[in-house]
Amino acid sequence: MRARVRAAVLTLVAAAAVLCSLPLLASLFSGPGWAGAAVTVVVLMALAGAVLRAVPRAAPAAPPAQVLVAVLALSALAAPREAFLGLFPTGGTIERAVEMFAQGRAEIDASPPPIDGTPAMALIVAVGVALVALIADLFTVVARTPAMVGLPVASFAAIPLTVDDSGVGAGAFALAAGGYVALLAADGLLRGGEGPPGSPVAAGGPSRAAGAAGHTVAGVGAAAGALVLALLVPLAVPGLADGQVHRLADPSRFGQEVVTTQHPLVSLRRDLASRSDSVVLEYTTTEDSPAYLRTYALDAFDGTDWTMEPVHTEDGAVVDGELPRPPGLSTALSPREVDTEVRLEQAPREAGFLPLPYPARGVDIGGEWYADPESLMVYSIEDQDVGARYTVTSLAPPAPAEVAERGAAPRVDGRFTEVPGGVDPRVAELAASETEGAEGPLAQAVALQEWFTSQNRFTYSLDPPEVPEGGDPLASFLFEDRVGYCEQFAAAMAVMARTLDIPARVAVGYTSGRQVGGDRWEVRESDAHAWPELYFEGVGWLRFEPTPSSGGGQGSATVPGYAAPEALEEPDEPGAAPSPDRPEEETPEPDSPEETEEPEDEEEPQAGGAAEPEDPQGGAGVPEWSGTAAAAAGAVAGALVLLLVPAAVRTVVRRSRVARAGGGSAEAAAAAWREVRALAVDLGLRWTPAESPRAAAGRLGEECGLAEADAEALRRLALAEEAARYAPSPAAAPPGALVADLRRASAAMRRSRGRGTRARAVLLPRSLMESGAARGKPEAAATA
Amino acid sequence: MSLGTHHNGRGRPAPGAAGPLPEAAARIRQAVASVIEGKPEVVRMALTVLLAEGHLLIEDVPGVGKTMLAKALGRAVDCSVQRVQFTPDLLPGDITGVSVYHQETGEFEFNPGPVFANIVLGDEINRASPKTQSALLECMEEMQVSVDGTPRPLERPFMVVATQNPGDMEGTYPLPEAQRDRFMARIAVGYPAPQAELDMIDMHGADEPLERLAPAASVAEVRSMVEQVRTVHVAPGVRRYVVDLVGATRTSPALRLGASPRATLHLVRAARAYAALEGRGYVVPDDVQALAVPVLAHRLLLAPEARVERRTAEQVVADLVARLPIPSPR
Repeated sequence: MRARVRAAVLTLVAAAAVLCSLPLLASLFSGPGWAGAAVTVVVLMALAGAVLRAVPRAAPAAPPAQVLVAVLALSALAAPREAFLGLFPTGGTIERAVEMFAQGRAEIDASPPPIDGTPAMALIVAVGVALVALIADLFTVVARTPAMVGLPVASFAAIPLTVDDSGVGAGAFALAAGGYVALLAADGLLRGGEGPPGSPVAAGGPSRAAGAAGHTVAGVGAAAGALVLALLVPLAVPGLADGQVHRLADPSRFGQEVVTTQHPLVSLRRDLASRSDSVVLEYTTTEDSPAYLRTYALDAFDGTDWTMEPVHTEDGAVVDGELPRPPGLSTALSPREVDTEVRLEQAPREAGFLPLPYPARGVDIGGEWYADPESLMVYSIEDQDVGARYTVTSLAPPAPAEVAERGAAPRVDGRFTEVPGGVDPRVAELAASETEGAEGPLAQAVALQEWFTSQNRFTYSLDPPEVPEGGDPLASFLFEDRVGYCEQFAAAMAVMARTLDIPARVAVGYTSGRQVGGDRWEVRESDAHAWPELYFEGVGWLRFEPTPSSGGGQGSATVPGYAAPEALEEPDEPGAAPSPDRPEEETPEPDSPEETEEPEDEEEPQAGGAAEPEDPQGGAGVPEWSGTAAAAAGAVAGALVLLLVPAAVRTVVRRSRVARAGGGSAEAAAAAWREVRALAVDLGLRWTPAESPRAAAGRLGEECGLAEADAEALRRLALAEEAARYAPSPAAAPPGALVADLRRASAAMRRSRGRGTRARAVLLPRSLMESGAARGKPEAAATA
Repeated sequence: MSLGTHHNGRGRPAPGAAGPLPEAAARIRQAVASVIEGKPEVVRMALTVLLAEGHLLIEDVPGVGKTMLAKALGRAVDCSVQRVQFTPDLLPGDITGVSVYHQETGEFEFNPGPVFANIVLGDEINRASPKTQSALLECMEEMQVSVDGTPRPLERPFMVVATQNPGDMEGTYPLPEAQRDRFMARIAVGYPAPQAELDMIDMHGADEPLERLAPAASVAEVRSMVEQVRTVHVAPGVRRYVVDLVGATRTSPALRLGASPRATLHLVRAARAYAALEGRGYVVPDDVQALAVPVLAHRLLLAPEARVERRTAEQVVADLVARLPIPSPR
């Protein structure tokens, strides 16, 4: 009876601890709307769990019931209209939920925090919080390790700490910590008095209560002490932090900070601020036609703006002279290396990105720099006192012929071909019609670029007309006014390339600038530029130049050799390419597409050719396929992780028991015996609460056909537990003896069962399904 | 089973320590077992009841060695043994003794009856009239005899071993439940296994084995063993378990009458003795479980439904034991 009340109360307290930690997320959202659904779901789950645990014999049903309640509540909150009776999820509910998730994701992608607390956000938060609440409940009541609740709850704090420099508010932190300590206190109070009988704690009456209080005070004291230490130590130890509490989570310490910049973005509607024309940098190179200097690569398009996915220092290699190999560049190619010496007018600031020619192979610069392997962006996360000079080694752009022969399906992250649903369908139609007749992605890309620059369709202006509020800037740029500057051209071409399933992103940086004498070049602010980078399997990312150059356009813009239309038609002519022509004997004729298509496919049979024979777009299906495959792989990986959760929890529980079994206290025998019991339950062996330890040991020994020595080990465990429970002053077992016996008996019990049973015991440990508090408690008197 | 040796703290005589008790107990058991072939459980139960200062009811068909058991036990512990054959004409005075007027001295002199012995064997107690039965039962409860207003204490240890033929035999007065309640345990000896019966023929062929039985312990030793049994530790959880178990008999729908609070006390005392015989200084639920049927079953009255189902009280108790969760501190 008491045990049931205890379990019910702990259920509620665990849920309260989770709710207390919700304000940690508050800095991510604006408005109060984001939390309501989460609070509702958690409260309902807690009530369901508490009620079931308070009812005799219903405790094992509590976790499944909580999942059910969560699903019902979420379906009612997310899509009441689709739900059957407003409650039970239907196919429509799932569709609606998927839709809302996509919408929520778009909202997250679209804007830096704080995000509006829309219903979609509320649903995403509610799902996450419900999961955390379920895990917290399992840790607290089932696994009886309430301290572990700190992990899922801390994950709340991790989100704002990773995406927001402002960290977590002191109030939210205090509330969350308070909830956690209160959970530990409640657990101590409720369970602290359950020492073995005969021990002073359980001797009954006032001493029992005193023991419980002692437990609690000790536990809470330890927790509070740890929290205070965690806050104070960084202040005292030099080099650990500079005194601000939230700097605890500083990147260089944890290595997973998101590098925040001034949010580089290329907008289709932004107006340019006033432009000065001061010198930004100077560089020296031996090239006649140097490459552009790229600062950022923007890889995410949300319908209006191109932005940069956060880069993580943990993904980035620390720059040590050499950079990661450019993605997609075939090892068969070994382009010429070009050295460029750069002198910046201003030293790079905090979270600075270096302007570099793409693809850079190495950067010679002091200080701590990271390179994003995907984009080869080089950046620092702190001020670097290194002056403003560096030398970069980059690769010369490929010869037109080298590019032209590449027509294989791109093997690159699916997000580079993602086009948000809101994009005007005419854009894709336009891209398709304008590239009609172009065979292969490169020809398509060149055709697109041509379309932008030829026949004076577009007008270059740094002061484009305003897009009416609510209008689609992309559509109005492409179909109506056709006036803009580099950002609009780059953004539009990248979007169109994506509709053709050519991976695309927008690069931001500077053009090559102007030659100021000898091999010295000067780059001014007016050379700031944006251009699309398109990906081709085998040569990697290549820049294109849809912005009108000379005359009325971006003065210093140049069309790269491989992208010049004439290069496609006359691949043997070296004049357009700045790089020396490498002999290419087997160069096919790209202008006779009917002939080249087949060999191309045969060249790279592993590129999923079999998967898309009927695809009319010639390879267009592959990126889609890879996107789906990535999603499927992600789903499978997610499912696998979920599947492994019980095994992981069980392992944690077992480890803690084995550790306690080695502790040599009266608890040791109990911990060892609980593990025996859990293992027996996991293995599907019968376990009756009416059976005494020694009777159970005897029966298990027989049922498992244990060898004499193994059965004896099991028996010793049973006798130790018996003594711990019933002897007036239990003898301390020799340290290690219990653990050795436990290991031996467990191994023997496992061996006695079939492989399938063992696997199930590991993956789906039944012992977790029983409520810890109700376990082994004398229930109401049995009746015959 | 030497766990008990670790727990002799608190300045008391070592509770059930592996000192003289298990050793002497083993000697007694061995001695009795040399006469009662192939019935170690029966011997153990008899010794348990002796050390727990209880009384034993042996219910079985005639000729299975009930009397032999009592005699062997008495001889093994070097106690005085008196045997009373209960018959319908037996009077209370035939048990307790009577005061006889001496003409020379002109005084009443008390002639002690057979009850003044350490072990009293009441054979076929259900053949005597209820009045006589109750005279014996009074002695059992009060450990003294009151004749003519003078209380005369009985010698310790004092144990009545009553035998009873199964209730449906002719010419018997079965003990009412109130009187059965005073026996700590009821056991059945049962027919011996074929091999044991063969051995018995050989043994009894030569001479009377009881004659050869040498005392294995003295009365003083038995008294000190009884003292030791009283110090055996019963953890709160185990006490609770006993109370729950006895309580369960009262709520069981299969029973018309559950066990009395006296049954609770008997069960705890018997469990202490049982644990001490194991050389353990504390009672474990296994002790209680082993004793539940012999200590509780004879006090219970089956409900009519259970009777119809031909269930026995023993089965009902065994069911309860199998279903009641054992005490666990966690």
